[in-house]
Amino acid sequence: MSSRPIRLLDLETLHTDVLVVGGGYAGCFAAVKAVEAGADVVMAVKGRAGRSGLTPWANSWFVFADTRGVSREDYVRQFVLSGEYLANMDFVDALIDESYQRYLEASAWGARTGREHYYQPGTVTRSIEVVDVGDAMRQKTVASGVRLLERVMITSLIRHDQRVVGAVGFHLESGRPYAVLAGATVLCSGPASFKPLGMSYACSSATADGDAMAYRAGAEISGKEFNDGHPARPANALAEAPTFEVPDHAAFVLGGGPPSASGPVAELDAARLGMRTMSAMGVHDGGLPIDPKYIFTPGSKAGGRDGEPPGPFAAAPGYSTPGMSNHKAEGVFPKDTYGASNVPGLWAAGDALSSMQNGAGYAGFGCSCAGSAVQGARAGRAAAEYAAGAAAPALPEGALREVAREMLDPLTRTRGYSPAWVTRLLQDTMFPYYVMYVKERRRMELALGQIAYLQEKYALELKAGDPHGLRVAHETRNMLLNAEMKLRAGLAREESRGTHYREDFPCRDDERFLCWIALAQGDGGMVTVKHDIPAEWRPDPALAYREKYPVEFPGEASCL
Amino acid sequence: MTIAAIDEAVCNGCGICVKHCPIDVIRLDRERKKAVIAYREDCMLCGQCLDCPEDAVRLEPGWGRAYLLGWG
Repeated sequence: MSSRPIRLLDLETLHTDVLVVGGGYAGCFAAVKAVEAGADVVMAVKGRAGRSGLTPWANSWFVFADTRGVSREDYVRQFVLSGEYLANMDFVDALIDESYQRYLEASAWGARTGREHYYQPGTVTRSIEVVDVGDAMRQKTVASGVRLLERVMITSLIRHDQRVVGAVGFHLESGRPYAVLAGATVLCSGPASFKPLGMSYACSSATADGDAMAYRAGAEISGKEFNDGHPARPANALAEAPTFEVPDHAAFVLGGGPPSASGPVAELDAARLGMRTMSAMGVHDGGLPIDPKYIFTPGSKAGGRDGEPPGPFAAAPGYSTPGMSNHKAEGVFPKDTYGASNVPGLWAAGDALSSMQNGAGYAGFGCSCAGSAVQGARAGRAAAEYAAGAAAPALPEGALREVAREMLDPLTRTRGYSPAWVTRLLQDTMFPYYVMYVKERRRMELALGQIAYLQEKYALELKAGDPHGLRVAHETRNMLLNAEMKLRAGLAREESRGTHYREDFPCRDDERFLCWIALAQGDGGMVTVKHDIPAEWRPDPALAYREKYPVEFPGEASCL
Repeated sequence: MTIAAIDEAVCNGCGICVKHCPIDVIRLDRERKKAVIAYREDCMLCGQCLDCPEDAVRLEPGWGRAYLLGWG
């Protein structure tokens, strides 16, 4: 479509206090709260604010208000159980304390609200339907005076004097390069996927862009070994076997989600546990290319939320969003409860932050949206405060142009590889269920070898014919890095826990893996770093295994 | 499985489909004031282009606005 050549000379440089990358729940709340804290704010969004990433389909909001007598301790206990002791309880507290206030704000901004769903034993669901939040948040963001750069893809953070001082990007249509020099940068760029185009959830604009640029800037990234649990559509091209027998006793391990027992929390037991997406979202009617022994259903009692009839979904938990981690698990590893990274000047929030608010499994409806809003608001305020006290970023013009030049490289190549072709090879490597959902050392090593080759051979030789192709090239490179992260984290966690299932290590291993596994740049490439779970959040060692872990993994009997 | 067509006879060139597409599949031909499908191969079938006020957008048969339950 583009005929005009993209010139580095066109580089437009903006100066601001806070740069927000992404325009979903986290991004809009970060931007608005940063403005309220006195900052000048620029927001860059790959699509349209409120309309890209996962935000257009967000529809429920966790609140801790009017709980009909259910105690805070009940909720906290459920986060602990469904998160299998990897939940960061500080972020759980933030969610419980602040989500209702954020809900009231979103509502005041114009988001339409609907039915209220009350506490269901076995999940932390106490949520309120919210729809059209994206457009309402965008209007509020614009009205707040935030400078919006829409359809601008940010590709690289600028690091100078040991801190992040902004980012570079380009406009998807004109190709015009932008540099935003900022006192503080907040990544609200959402989660990762491997573009399951058209066959699953519409998550293909989420391509790990934030994780990738943060990693390259020196940040630690964690939460990559877990999996999102949303179910696949019946028309999922990867689904084939139409039916299979589902046992009524085994634990489901693919995908994610907490147990959703029909009794009170205290009565949880393996025979009554279910997959939340099964019981709350629908029943199996499509089939999956997954060995039935890995599938679980709570007997035949699958039904909709609050007793609604199930929807038209194949209950293929976790198979609709390949490449995506459990909400709130993957992203920048935080060093505080405001989402600060280990690199000065860089914050993250929402699905770009490894807050581990939900731990290793999903906690219940609305936790993701509400968590993004809560975390965005916290990061926005913290970033504004930091920017107010930080020296205005200054760096040599040449350094800026060098980052921008690298960004535009794929456009300048006369020869190179097609990003679409490389993405297809990535998908062929990572999509089979036996790589990311049912894991095993040798299979992951084989996949890692393939991904490593794609990175070495092709990632830096991608060719783009126009700015759209430039976007796809950067996305491809980011997805390859995400694949490496998922495989290295999956290999490092030699146990099963929550939504991470190792066929060769089917039990939880509290001695070795009550930790978060972060990925960072080492001298010879990517390295893993373990961060231990604080002692007060660990399970009582006197508890029996099944008391700590009501959900049973296939093959677990062999190691107990 | 992608967006199928934009009816040029109906399209008023308002550009809503262009703005609402998260994947940059649709572009506006500014001279002709018509939306055109530019990168069909990247369509993820989310259906936000169906926000078209003139009902000019068609997806391939059997598809509508993404019938997914929302994210929570």
